[in-house]
Amino acid sequence: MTEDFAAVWDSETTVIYLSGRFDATQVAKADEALARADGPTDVDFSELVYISSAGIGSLLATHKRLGKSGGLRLVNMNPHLRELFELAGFDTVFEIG
Amino acid sequence: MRRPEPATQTSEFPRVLSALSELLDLLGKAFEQYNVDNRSAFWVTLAVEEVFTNMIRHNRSSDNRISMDLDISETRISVRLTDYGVPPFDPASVPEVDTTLSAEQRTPGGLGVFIVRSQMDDVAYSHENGNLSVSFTKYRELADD
Repeated sequence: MTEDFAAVWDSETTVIYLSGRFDATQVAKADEALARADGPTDVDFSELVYISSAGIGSLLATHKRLGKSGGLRLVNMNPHLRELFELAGFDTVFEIG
Repeated sequence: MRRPEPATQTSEFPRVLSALSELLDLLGKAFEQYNVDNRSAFWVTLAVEEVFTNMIRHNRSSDNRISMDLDISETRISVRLTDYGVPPFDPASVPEVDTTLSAEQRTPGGLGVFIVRSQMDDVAYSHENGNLSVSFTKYRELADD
C-alpha cells in the first residue's frame, strides 16, 4: 500500500493509466492527466491498489466535464476497488469494464 | 519465525493534507509487519484517510495535531483518531449517501462516514474535554486473497 502514485496519459490510445495509491494528496497529479481527456476515455486501474473519495471525486469531475461527448470507462479494477465502487453506487455512474 | 510483539502505537500528525502520506505509509508498514490480509488493510486504510481528511476539513481554525492509536492483534485492527480542541460532532447529523443518484447528481461527499458505518465492525464517536475521538475496529479476514 506504499506504492508511489502515477497517472499517465497515453495519447496514442487515449488511455489513462493509474498506478499505486491514489489518496487525497495525489489529486493534482491525477487531474493533470485527466485534463487531457476530451472524449470517451478508458482509465486503466490494473496497477492501482487504492483509491479514496478524493480520487473518486477527481474521476467524477472529469466524467461530468466530458458529459455527452463520452465519459470515463474504468477498466481492470481489482476486487477491492470494485467492491468500493459497487458499495458506494459508483458502478452505475461510470461504465466499469 | 519470531512472532512480532502486539502492535499498539500512538502517532501524531500535523493537520495538513500532506501529512496523510506519512500516516498511510505508517499504516501500510504495520499491516505488512503483522501480515494483515489485503482486504482488511484496504478498508481500514480507507476509513483512516476519510476520517483524517474530514477532521482537517471540518476544523480549519485549529492548529492542533491529530493523533492516531493503532492496535493490531491476530484477530482485529483497532484505530482511534483524536482531534483536540474541537466542537462536538454528531455523526447522526451526516445524511446517508444516496447511492442511486445519477452521475450529474452524485458527489463524493459523505463517503467517509458511509465507509466507516458500512465496513468497520465497531464504531464509536466520543467528545470529552473538547476532544473528538473516532474509534473503529475491523475484524481480520482469515485468509488472504
